[in-house]
Amino acid sequence: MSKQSVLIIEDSKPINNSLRRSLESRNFNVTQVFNIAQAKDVLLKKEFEYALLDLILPDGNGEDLLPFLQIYEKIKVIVMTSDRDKDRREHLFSYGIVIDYIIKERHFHDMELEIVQLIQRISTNFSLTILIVDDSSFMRNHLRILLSKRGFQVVDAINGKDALEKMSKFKIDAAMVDLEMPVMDGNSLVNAIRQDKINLLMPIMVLSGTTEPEKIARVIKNGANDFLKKPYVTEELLLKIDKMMQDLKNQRQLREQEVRFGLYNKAIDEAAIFFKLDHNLKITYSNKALCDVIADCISIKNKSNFPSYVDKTSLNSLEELNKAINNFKSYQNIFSLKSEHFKDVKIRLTFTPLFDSNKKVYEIIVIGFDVSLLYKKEEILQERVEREIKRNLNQNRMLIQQSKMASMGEMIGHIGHQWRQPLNSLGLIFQKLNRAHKKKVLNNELMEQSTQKAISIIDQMSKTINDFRDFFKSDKQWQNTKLSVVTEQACNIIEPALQENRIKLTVNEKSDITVPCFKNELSQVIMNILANSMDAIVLKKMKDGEIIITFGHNEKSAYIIIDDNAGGIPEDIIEKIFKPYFTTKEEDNGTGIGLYMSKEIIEGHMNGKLEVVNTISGASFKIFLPLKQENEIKSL
Amino acid sequence: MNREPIILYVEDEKDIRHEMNEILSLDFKNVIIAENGQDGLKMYKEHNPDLVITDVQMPYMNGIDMSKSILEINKYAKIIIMTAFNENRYMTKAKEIGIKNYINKPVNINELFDSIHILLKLE
Repeated sequence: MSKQSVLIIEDSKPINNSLRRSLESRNFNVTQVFNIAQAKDVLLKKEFEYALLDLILPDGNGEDLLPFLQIYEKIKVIVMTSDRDKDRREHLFSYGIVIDYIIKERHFHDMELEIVQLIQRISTNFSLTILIVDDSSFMRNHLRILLSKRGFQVVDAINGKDALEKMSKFKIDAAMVDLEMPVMDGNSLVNAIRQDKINLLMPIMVLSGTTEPEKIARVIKNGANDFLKKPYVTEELLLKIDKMMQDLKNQRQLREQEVRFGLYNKAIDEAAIFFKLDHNLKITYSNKALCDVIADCISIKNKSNFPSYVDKTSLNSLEELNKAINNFKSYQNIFSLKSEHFKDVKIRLTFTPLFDSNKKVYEIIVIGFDVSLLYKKEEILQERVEREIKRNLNQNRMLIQQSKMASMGEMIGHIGHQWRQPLNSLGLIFQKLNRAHKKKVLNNELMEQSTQKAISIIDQMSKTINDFRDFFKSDKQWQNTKLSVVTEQACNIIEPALQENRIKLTVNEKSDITVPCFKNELSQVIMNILANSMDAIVLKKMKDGEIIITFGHNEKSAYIIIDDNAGGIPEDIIEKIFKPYFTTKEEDNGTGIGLYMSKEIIEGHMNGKLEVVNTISGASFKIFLPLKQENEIKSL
Repeated sequence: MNREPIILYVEDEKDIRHEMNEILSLDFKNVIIAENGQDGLKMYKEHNPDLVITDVQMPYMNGIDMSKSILEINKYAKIIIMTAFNENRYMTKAKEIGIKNYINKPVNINELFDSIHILLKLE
């Protein structure tokens, strides 16, 4: 809609300016003048939809402008005055262009608001058509002018019959009906109009000169909304029409809202699970979606107690629901429902209690969405994750098992080395005694000496077994241990094998330090690295094989460096040696688990680091261990 | 052979050397011992023993290399090699240089004495 133009004719500058600001803020096009001369001047140049006219102006009476304003077809005049003379007011209305008369003495803001509301109301009146039914052409004309100026469309008829014909031709929103008319009087017309259901709500105002209460009563009983006695005061007529038409607008708006509400209802009904409960949680309505999920609609009708459909896993939610309803609050949660059709039905339900002005819940609206599928998906995902974890765990367990088996194999080899000589010695001692006995030279001294020797050898062998057993004991907790002690444990076991291969082992204990560690695991790692170095030396058939172990530490970590002189690890495999199942050895000798598990033990169990680099002479393994472990209670 | 035979026993492992020395001494009066191949070769040159019994794996010249040197001095030298089952690779080498007599470790004393008696042609 294009901007409507308003002319303000008012000599008080504060009032004029304030009105201008107020109207401009509501998107009107405003022109200000302060006296009659200026007004006439402006009116010659421009047409206005509205004029706000002050009656007392410095250069004359505002009323004198009205005949001048009458020339303009569109203009509607709102008179602003402090004059309460009713005859004068009626006179002003009789010009036909005055649409309202506003008393200025009230609070300024109220006046402004009234003017703005009036203009806004009138600007929406154009869509409404009023039927004027009167046999007097003077009356018809008078009413037509008044109503048109207020923005209404007007259709007129000369009697009841003519009115019904006009109604069939035009869309009529309201009627003003005279009572006494030829052919068909107002009473019959009102009666006829109300016969049609469509017109039940149509506002009808009856105008009549009659003073007989009986007649007035009858026409009101027949369905007239209001009665106005002729001759009427124009202002009263206008106010009654405004009121009547405003009621119509409100009613229509209400009906639109009702229709819209119906559509919402339908949309929810189609899109979601939708049912209603009374305050006892009895199901009073259920849509198809609920029937599809829970039970057929007839069963629900017979067994309508909502709690009876709630699975026992959701009983807590039911309790919470009752609490919320008692506090007139809505409640949302996921309910497991018992269903005749499906297993594991999970529905997210929103309960909204409706209560009256006495705070009595008369209905609970429930909207729900089936989330069973979502749950199922989540469960499937969860299951898959668990399965994967389990598989990884099994794989890891297998690796550990495999690596244990592998080191057991190695250990048996080492035990073999350790025991070969003492077993040989024992064998010789017994055979010596036997031979001496046969030769009859077995004396006490020889017997005693040999027994002592045998016992000492057997002690040595037991000690070896204990060493191995300790070595394989799994660590239950962190131990603060010197690096040299852990290293010695490993060296004791592998030393015979090193000796056999003429490999020189040097342990540089200068920077020995105590660290928290899993002692046996760390020993196993050291031994594993020593065994790898030894294998590399043997493989190269070196006669001057050498392994050097050095300790050290910085601010955060202790480290053990194990250097050999076997020429180093080929560059193309150095990246892969910590991978599981990687091995360069022949089938019988290597499982490929050793270095992988070593890294796992150092980095995974002890938060350290295991690295390897090549030096000029060979490989250099470096084991880093934190000097402090964050959680030393951690057990394996 | 009228005189008492001289037997050289070469072994690096102290306990075994000690036991074997005692055992051999039950039957023979002249048992001499050496701790390694180098030592053994030196003793052979000094004492010219009738029989050499030697371990294979030893530091400072192993039993095979020592035997080879002895056979170079006296190609009729009588040598018994004592080997463990896992030392097959030495056996091949031993056969190559012409040593036919060997005894498996752990040593069966009766077997050892039988061999000694046969080699020294004793009763």
